[in-house]
Amino acid sequence: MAGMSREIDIRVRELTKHYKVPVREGGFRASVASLFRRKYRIVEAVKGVSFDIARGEIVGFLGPNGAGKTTTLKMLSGLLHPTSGEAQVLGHVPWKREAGFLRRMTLVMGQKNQLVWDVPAMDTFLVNQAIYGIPEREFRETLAEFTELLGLEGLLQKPVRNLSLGERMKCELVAALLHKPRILFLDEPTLGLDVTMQNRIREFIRVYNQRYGATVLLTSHYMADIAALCRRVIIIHHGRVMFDGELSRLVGSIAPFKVLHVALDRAVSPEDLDGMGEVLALDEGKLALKVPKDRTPEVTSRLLAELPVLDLSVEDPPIEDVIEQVFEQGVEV
Amino acid sequence: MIAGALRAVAGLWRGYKALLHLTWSEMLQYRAAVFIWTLWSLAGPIIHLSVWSSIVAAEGALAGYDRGAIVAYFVVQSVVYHFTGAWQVWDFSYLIRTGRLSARLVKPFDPSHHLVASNVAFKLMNLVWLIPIWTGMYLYFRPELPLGVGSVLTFLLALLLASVLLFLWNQCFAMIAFWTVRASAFYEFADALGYMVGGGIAPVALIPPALQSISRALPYYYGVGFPIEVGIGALDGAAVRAGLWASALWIAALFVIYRLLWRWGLKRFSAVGA
Repeated sequence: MAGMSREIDIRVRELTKHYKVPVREGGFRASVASLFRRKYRIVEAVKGVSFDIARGEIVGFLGPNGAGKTTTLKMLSGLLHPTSGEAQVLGHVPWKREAGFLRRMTLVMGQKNQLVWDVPAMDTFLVNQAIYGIPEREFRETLAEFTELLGLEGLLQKPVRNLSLGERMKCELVAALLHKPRILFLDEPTLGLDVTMQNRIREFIRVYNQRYGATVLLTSHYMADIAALCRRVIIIHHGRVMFDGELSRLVGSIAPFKVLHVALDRAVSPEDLDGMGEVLALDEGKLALKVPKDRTPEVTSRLLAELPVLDLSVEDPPIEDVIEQVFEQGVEV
Repeated sequence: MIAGALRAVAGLWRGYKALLHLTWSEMLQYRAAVFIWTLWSLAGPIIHLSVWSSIVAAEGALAGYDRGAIVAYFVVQSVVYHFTGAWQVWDFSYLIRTGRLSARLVKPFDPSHHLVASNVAFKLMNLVWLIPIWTGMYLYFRPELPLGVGSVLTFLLALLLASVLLFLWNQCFAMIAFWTVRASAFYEFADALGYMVGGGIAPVALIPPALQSISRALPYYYGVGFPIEVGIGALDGAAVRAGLWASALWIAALFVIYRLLWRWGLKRFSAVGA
């Protein structure tokens, strides 16, 4: 595992979280009955998760929706009490929510933002400056640095409601990092952003990590985020860690293929695609083809030569697919 | 230890100053709406003043309240209402429902400070137009008010305690949002009852005696009727002292209840998630 010899910033042992969730069947009778006798079921969101993260590491925390990623992040940032298990972040038990811990970490949850909607982002930054006691000079310098890195010129004076989603996300990151936390818990920081904006935010996280030696635990559904930032990934499914190791090992051994998306001038038959790869979708001139990585150049050339191609893009397999393969192939943890 | 306490106070002051500025900036974005809400808060006292003035003019003084005293009561009520208003039961439910509470909980600053700062900011900024309006009301209605330094200071003390009391009262109901985001329904029910028996629609002396004793045993009277009665000089020294002590005790009790609910609620919140 990466960083074994370095100082451990995040230590997690057998962390478990069960929720008690009310359940009832649909319909009016069930609604009335639930007034008198509520039924519950226990949801095991996280089941005995263990890992260490060393100082300065950026670790991708992956898994399908409902796998337990956000629940784990919330426990590690002190928002949730675990049902059992232990965790230490910078030597603190997160759910005790000690000021010394809160001052040195941050949690960014994609859509659940801290910026105040009706006023410029700068006003929220000033509140954070006061709350974290950031000296004026340091505040100005950090803000100037982040403004340059993220290209925020002219945005800080606009009301947040007038910013685009990407601009808002950049301001959210600034608000969350002005106090220069050592630990970053980032939950889908690029969700819903266009490719340019994703790149910018990715680059910002990378520079912040290098410049300040921060430790980052990042969830994302975008393979590109993970590929650009994380040498190591932890995959969680049904609340259990399925894989913890180098990303290159995961992608190379589990998903050594690319997906070609092709727009065609006319409909083609499956026979036209013989020997090219696995057809994932073929519908009204749109084709998705799964091709082994080492055959990608050859298949791309054949497609261009043999079929009426209007547009073609080569993509990594969706992260969900790679993860699915982890479950199917039972990669050892 | 003293240095640590001083640093904590300085930190609080910095936080409050920034939050006041933030709330004022927000309010300036919606100045027309804020102005209308403020005018609306004056509507109740002015309507009651008109109704009760007519009744007293026709029937003669009721329980010691002649026309001058009634006018004074509702003019002072408009001031008391402004300073004792609290609405975090709605704000806090919103924070929980939208997940925004989580963003505040991961900061080294108690989220309750945001609610206090927002309340204080609103009340201070609205003084810009309320002071001229109150002055106009005073000049128009000419209420008979005790304006000696001692009387005014006692009124200000009663008003301060009433503001804190009703803020904490509202805060206790806000904590119910940890269990149900419809916490405001409980508050609105209690508020309607309190308004009726606590000196909102009429001086407590005008409601039936059985209700009067219930009223004086509940916190609402100390947040509404009591400071108004102090303001118009309707109480003797002993009654004022007793009322101030009762207000202070209610504040202490409500603070303890609020902190307990906060602790339990947070435990539940951190058990079931945002």
